[in-house]
Amino acid sequence: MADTNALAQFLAEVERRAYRQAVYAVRDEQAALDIVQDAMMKLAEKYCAQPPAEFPMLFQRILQNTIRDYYRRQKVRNFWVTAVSFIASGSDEQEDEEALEHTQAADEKDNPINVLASGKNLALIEAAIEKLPARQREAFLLRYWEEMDIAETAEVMGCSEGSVKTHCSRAVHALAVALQDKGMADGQG
Amino acid sequence: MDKDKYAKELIAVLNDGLGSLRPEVTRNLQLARERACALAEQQVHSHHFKSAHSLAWSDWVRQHRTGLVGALLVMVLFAGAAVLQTTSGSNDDDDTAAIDTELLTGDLPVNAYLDGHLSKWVNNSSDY
Repeated sequence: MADTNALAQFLAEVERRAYRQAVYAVRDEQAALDIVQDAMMKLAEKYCAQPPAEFPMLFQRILQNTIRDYYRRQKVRNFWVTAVSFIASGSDEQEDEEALEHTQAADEKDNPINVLASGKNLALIEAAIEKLPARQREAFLLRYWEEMDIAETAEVMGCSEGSVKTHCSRAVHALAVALQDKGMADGQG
Repeated sequence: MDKDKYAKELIAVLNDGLGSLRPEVTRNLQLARERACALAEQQVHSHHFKSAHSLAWSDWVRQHRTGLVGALLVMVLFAGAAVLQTTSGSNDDDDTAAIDTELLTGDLPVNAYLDGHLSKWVNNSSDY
């Protein structure tokens, strides 16, 4: 049985990257924290007895599934919000638009990526990663950031190795194009 | 373009940025990790408790092995006796049914019952 120190050490190593991954995926800091915490709790509850070598794969699978669950919940919530707002729409439409603009401006200002970026390049890269399609982003981050090989990435994503290669290739290409548009010739700007 | 090299350059920038997380985010992540580790600790203790329980049970079985084997033999004997009893009971029932069938579908022609000698023989045989 794995001892809990191994788990603590693993989580300490992976938590920041996991948080960033979740932020790129859901674009909401608080939701990202909840997702990472859920993933940690699930790993501790169900798989703490597994050998530590299996933690990275298990944790990534749990994290990706938790992110997908979040998307599903958001979809249902958005459906009901749209339905209710459609019924209640009318008089306060103008106010809503103003409020939305204000919120978006505040979000841009308070966005941790913008506030905390150590440099301009980081902010640009993170913005480009956020704009990637979900599967491409997932493949890119698992393959290069989590340093998983193609087979492991395919297992976590539940797809073929060929799909992983395609997603990764397209992701890198899309990032290169997006960053060139922003004036970064390569990853270092 | 060497895509792997380019990707690694991007990842290097992302890794550099990990140190710039806001303190409250770092603190929340640490709290989440501590909660997860506490839960894992509970799971490990509960597993140990289960292991100790099963160990005690196996010790008890080892100590009382002779008695348990004897009890098992007695139970097997009782079960065998019960099976025999049930089987013989059903055999008796089968025999009775066979006799009834034979009587009903016997070779004796129906006209025999109209024969006066038969009535006489029946009356005589009831004396036995």
